[in-house]
Parts: sequence; C-alpha cells; structure tokens
Amino acid sequence: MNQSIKVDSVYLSFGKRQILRGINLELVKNKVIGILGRNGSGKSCLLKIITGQLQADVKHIRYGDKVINNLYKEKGLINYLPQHEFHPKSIVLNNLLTLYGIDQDRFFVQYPFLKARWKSKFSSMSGGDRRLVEVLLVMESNSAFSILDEPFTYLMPKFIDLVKGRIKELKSKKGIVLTDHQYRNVLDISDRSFIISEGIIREIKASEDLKIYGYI
Amino acid sequence: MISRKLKLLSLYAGDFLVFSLLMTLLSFYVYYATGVGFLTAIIWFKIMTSAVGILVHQERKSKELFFYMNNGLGKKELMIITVSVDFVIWLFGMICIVKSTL
Repeated sequence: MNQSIKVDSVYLSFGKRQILRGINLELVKNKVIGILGRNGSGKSCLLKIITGQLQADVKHIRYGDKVINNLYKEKGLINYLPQHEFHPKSIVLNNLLTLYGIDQDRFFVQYPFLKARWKSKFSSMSGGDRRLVEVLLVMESNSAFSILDEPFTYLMPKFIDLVKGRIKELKSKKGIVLTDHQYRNVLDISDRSFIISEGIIREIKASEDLKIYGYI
Repeated sequence: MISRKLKLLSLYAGDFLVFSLLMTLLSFYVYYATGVGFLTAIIWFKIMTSAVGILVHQERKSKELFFYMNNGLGKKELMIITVSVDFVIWLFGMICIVKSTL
C-alpha cells in the first residue's frame, strides 16, 4: 500500500470569512512536513480537519487507495499533539507510558533526565516539563504518522534541540507533520515546508518566500 | 489490551460514575421509602441527573479528548460505554429492589 495520506481540496470558512481555499497536502512516511503561517492563517484548523476534529466545507482524504473521513478510525495510523495540554493531571508518568504502549526501559534510556520523575503526577511537573513529556509521548508512541501542533512552544532551547534530534531519528519509522512559529526550527528539520497564506498553501523554496508571504 | 482499555475508561468515566452512583443510590432510597407510586418520577430523576452529569463531564474532559483518541478510544465510544455502565448499574439495582419489595 502507498504509505501516504493525501489531503485534497480542503475548503473551510467561518461565516463569510474563507480560511482555507483548496488546500492540497501529502503526508509521506519517512518525511517531515513543516507548515508555517501567520496567526489565524488556518494551520491548526488544517491539522484539526486532517484529524477529523473540525468539519471542513469540503475535503477529500485518502490513505493509499482508501478514502477515509476520520483518520483516527484507522488503528495506529495517526496520533496528534494539540496546542493545549491534554493529559489528565492526576496520572503518573509511568502509567502514561504504559497506556501509550511505550517501553519504559527504552524510554528512560533515551530520556534519562525523566527517570527521577517516573512516579510523578503529571500535575506536579513544571509547564515546560509537562509539554516536553506530551511531545515525547506522541512522538514515541507507535503510529504511522504524528501530527504536532506547536511542539516547541514552552520548551527551553536544550529541549527544543532534543525534540528536533528525535524527530530526525524517528522519521525513519513514521511520517511527521508539524507547525510552530519557531520557523527556523521547523525549516531546520523539515524535508518539505509549506506556508499557508490567504487560505492557499505554497511550498517554501527559499527563506525569502517567508518575507514575500508576509510571515517575517 | 483489554486492561489498557479498562484503565483508559476508568480514567475517563471515574468522576462521572461516582456522581451517577450517588444519584442511583438516591433513587433507590426514594423508591424504597415511597414505593411504586414514585417510579415514573424516579426514572425521570435518573435520566435528568445522568443527562446533566454527562454534559458537565463532557465539558470538563473536552481538553483531554486527544489523549483518549491517541490511545484508540473515540469520543462516541467513551460516551456510549460510560452511559451504558451507568444505566446498567441503575437498571440492575432497580430490578433487585423492585423484586425485593414485591
């Protein structure tokens, strides 16, 4: 089976305001796709449409030859990191790893600085640590594609480098789509980068494109 | 796999089931104290408290939804199982109490 998710002709409007106008995007395994765009350009809306959480006016999504409206219904196909915190506060880190089906030993070898926190409640961690754990859980869990909405936000530079490094490693196993306003970091690790401007998605060929489309 | 799903479900439904269990016990007590004459009111009481409870619960858990979805449990599945467990506990209890008072 063709290991890609094809998203075609996505249209979205809120009242008279058109947010997305015919977006086409292909999520490919072993590739990192970066999506940039000004605030309110529709990046997060696009990701929510792809994950089936937002109803578009029009959309066509296929995985291989199969038309799929809700990618979550296909077991192990995608997982999603939303912008906001999304884990129950009362849960303990090692229980989270179990629920995500992540091998604890392997996880703590990879991230030894979190070992001391393995019995910690999620709520007892700092905001930055909670975000880091959420990013790592989504990336490390077993899914064909990971969709990351602002994975670098709230992270200190050391952790941003850690996440970037891990994304580069994990792309041998999965396809990754990410959006974040830290555009240099996004461009650093993306195999292909796009910008959404005035509802249309365009590939970024050179950093000047970001100026042309009014992003920087 | 099943125990993982059960853990996720208990994590999702726990708060609501504690509340609904209290409402269930209250409806049992009212039936026990008043008899069959209040059965219709008791049924409506249970439906209304469960409906309000589930709406509040859904709102409280809305931000956590992706955690469950990332682990293979969709919104509909969570809701159907939560409401079913609540209803089955109430129905089973009511049948036992009605039988014991006949």
